[in-house]
Amino acid sequence: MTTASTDRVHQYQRWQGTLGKTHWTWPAIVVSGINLSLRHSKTRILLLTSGMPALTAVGVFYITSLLESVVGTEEARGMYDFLNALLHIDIRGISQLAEFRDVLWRSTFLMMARLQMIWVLIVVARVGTGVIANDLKARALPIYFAKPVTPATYLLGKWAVVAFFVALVTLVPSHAAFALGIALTGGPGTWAQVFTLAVDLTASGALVCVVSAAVILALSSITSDQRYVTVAWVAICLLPAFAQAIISESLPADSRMGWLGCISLRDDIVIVIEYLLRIRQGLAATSMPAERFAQALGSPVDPSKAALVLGALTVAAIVFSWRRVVRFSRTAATV
Amino acid sequence: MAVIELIQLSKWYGEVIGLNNVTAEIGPGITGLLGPNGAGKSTLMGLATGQLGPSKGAIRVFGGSPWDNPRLLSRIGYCPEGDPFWSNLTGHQFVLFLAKVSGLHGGAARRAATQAIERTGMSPHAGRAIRGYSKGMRQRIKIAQTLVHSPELLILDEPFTGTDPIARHELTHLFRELAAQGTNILVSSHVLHEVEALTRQILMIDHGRIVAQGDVQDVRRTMLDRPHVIRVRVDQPRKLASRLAGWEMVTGVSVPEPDTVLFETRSPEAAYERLTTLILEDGLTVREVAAADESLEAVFGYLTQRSAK
Amino acid sequence: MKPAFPIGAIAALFLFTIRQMLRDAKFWAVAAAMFLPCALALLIRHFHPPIKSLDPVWHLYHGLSQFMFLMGLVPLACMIYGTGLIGTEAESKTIGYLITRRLRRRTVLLTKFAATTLVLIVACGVATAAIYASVVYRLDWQSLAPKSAALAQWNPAHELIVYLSVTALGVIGFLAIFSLIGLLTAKPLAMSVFYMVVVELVIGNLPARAREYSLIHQLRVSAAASIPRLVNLFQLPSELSAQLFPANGSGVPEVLIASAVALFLACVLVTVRELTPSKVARD
Repeated sequence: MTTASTDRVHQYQRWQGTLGKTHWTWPAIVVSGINLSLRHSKTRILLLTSGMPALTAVGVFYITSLLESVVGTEEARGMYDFLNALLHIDIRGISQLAEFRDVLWRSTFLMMARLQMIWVLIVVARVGTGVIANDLKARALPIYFAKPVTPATYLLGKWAVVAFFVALVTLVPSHAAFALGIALTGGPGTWAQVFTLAVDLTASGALVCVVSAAVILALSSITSDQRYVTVAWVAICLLPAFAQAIISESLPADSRMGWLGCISLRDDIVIVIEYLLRIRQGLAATSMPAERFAQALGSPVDPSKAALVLGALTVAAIVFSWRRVVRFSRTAATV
Repeated sequence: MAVIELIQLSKWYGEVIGLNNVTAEIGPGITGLLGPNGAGKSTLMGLATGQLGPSKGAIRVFGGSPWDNPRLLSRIGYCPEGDPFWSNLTGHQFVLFLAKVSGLHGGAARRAATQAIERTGMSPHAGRAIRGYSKGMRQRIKIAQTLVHSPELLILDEPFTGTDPIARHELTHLFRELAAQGTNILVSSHVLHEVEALTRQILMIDHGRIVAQGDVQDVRRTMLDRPHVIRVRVDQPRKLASRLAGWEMVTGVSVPEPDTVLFETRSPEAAYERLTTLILEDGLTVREVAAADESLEAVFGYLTQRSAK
Repeated sequence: MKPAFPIGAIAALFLFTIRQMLRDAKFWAVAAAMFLPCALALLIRHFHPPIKSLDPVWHLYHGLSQFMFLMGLVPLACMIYGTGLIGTEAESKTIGYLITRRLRRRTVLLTKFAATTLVLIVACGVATAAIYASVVYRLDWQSLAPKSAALAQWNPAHELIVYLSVTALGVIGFLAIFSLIGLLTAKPLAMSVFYMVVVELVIGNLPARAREYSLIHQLRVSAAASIPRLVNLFQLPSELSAQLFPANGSGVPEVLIASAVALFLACVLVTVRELTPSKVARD
């Protein structure tokens, strides 16, 4: 006679295979996050439209290459005006335009980066604001932490989801514009002149991905209400930019060169990108007169201060979101 | 006189039907509203408390429409399902606030809140924030706010969910006591025995339609003609199966597992009696004899299939 | 016998709404943001070279008050609270407790509106006073000479009172409009941002008469009615400026009528709509 026992004990199955390493659970979070975001048609449309700055850049490259062949003629006047309006670089009267190719390309990518910040703002608001907030709302964290997911892998997975989408609107269009530009404007000769730009573009795109994804993770871990995260994100992007504009209007140029010139997240990113693209060094190496040089780029702002602000903000955001997630994981363990 | 009247009542959410052309009367006393998840119980309760409006037809509570009708709604106490709370409040603050919103003033509101909290056994925890409450405590504080303004009709959506057996027993006792004092109660559940412990009057719904209504015994009797499946765990299943196959009252036999026999019969009581004799005669070692499908879902399966036919 | 008009229930809900607002971290985050212009004024004054005349001070005060506070922070605060007036309760399903009691749906809305308005008016009022204080703090009035004759009669205390009134008017107007949007659509926050950008920021700043349809313009008119030289701040052509800022216009009735209409429509919506999370606040 067997002893009384329940069916459940008999039928309980244990996993017999080998379990994967704990720290490799984050790609699953990334894939799931990306798939979830891509299900929304608005996100897909947003990603498609992010190619617009890149198309503008390709147009500029094409016009520059045309300009090299018609320089000094009547036809060139309209092209000069167009470039001046777009890049704020007055290259009229300069006969050796090939010398400017590298710096024109770099200025074009700076203009493109400025435009891309609009897409970064929107895409992060769309896919980033809910990354942790929605999990908090759906009380999904106990489910995550009941699996072999640690706070670090969770955070890394969530960060990578946002970084992926930011890369889709910054890195990918930039490199696509770079490749298209080379293909349209002469091939190997141009490549030889501007190839280092590819590395600078990667660094610039990575900067935007790292900073924006870290900041939104911190904001998203504050509340379970995605709406407020969106409002906070938009406020963080726009209010300091307004403040920066008011400061620029109210104060003389030299007094805003220091820390006062670094209060806007968006402006700080652009300042560091300008440094990474090495436009000032590029222009200094050309024969452009100093006054036009200043007109093209404005007064120099110390990039080390902007970089320090961005670095401090990123570290603070990571530490903050880390502490929040660790707290959630402990709460989950006691539920 | 009916407390709640449903007159050709339909409610749909886009393409999803919540209630489908329901006509019924819910009388005084305690009525159990039974149905599996998604049957339409909460929809019916939302309509009865004026939170939802009918898509078609009408609902009358105490003869009037509950939609934006404070005079009528102040006669109703509603306990929602789930955890809708201002969780930073303490239990006492929560009940007191809702007492005041129900129209009670100063001292009367405080007394009513204290009394309602006492009745639900929450006095020791009333000073704590709701966010720290267990599931059972949350249920009880929700019931306290339902009682605070002494309503004539209580509409309780799954009030036993998450409560332990002692709390369930106490709440059952409380509801019976209220009913004895003349309060009408409509209580929903998907667990048959919870409702059976409270009342004999039930209303069963499924897929937005009423599948049975009336005394619970009558509903059970209706179910008697359905085939019952009985499971026997035995040491010689094949021998038992061959013997059962010869019985007239048995309509089907199977051996799904090496030690289990399942058989289907329309006369379960007779089958149980004859099975005992058979076990003794053949010297079988039996580890379990049980009805395989007495869950509410099985009853619903039967009733809904029958209503579809 | 219960009273016909549930004044006690209304008072309870009014006080409860205020209490819940003040206990929420969101309110303190919004309140902190309100002090951004004040912080900015202090920063600018700290880094500014020695002030020689009143003109930059006047421009700083009105620039911050008009463009950053009234046009940015006040609508933002009203957007956060207006869209969630009923939506937040609907989402957490606590609205069920309120509308199944002694109060009509419209009474719940109006009571919550009144309580939220009061708290926001106080918060915005303190922030308005803080901007004023940060601009005039330790200003040596005797040694400052106005560049323009118009500033010779500058009375900052009077202008503070004007701004306090205009801010209160702005809170009522924006909160009413955002409360309506909160009930009108399932995506109130997105819709409010759209309204804010299109109507208030674009149309409200157009160099054309179309800007009269924006609340922000009417608030400027009401401020300019008491501070006529404020009109110069908007840098409009003189003919258009005369049309948009008429000598006898006050802007107050326009804002109050718009608020009343928005609130009336919100009351109608809250009475006829089901207040379930899927229909209200799904942003």
